[in-house]
Amino acid sequence: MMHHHMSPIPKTEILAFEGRFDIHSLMHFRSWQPSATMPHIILDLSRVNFVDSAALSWMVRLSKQASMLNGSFQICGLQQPVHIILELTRLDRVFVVTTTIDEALAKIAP
Amino acid sequence: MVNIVMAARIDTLVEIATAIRQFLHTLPLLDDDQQTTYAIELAVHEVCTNIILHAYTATDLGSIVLNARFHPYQKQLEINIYDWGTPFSPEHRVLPDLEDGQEGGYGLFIVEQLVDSLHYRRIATTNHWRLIKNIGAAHDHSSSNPRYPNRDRDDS
Repeated sequence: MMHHHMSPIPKTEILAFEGRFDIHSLMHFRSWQPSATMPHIILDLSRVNFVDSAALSWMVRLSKQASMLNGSFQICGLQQPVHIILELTRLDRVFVVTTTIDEALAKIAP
Repeated sequence: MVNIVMAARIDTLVEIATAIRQFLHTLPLLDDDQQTTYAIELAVHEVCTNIILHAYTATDLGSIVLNARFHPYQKQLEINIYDWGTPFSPEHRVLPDLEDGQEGGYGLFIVEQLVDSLHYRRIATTNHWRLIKNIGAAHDHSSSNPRYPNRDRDDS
């Protein structure tokens, strides 16, 4: 399940997920993409306990789209099993990973 | 032991995951080992997703049969997954770009990292995937240098 949260800083979209973040849940928002007016994206995964390869691929696409819009892409609040999957695929080096939303916000508007 | 027969659809993946998790919870060696439980659940999920998307090309017209058993003396979990779709073609497989990230190619790569053995074979019209996971041994999945696997996949 995906929720949009209000961001305290401009041009920033905060997307919060919960539960399973996989090919099935992606069916509901796979086509979502960042806009030129909101090119900074923060994914809050603190309540996600399962991530699969489809979700990883979607995050890679989102990251590239944000970059093309001169924006940024960050993920925060990873639970340990989810973090391990990012390490296995080395995506922890491709994505900016933070512990909290505040930490991610600070990187956009230091 | 657990036996599952499922329609090969994306919306049934969660049911397969639930059945696998319930079975794993019956294994004393996995008591509260969330990391290993997650690894096995994800490996099965990825193989089944691969079957749905590629063997059956998301047509909703196939089935998946899965059985899992624990071998206590070897401390091994054996999972066999069967389908009757298009054969797996390793030559068409896309490997992930681990340096820059890419959209796709992570599925089987993740499986190979999470289990101790991944074996594929085609028997007549049946695709058979066999996953082996050693339970009880310490595994370090946090390696800073994940490599492309050389598992004993039989592509014959």
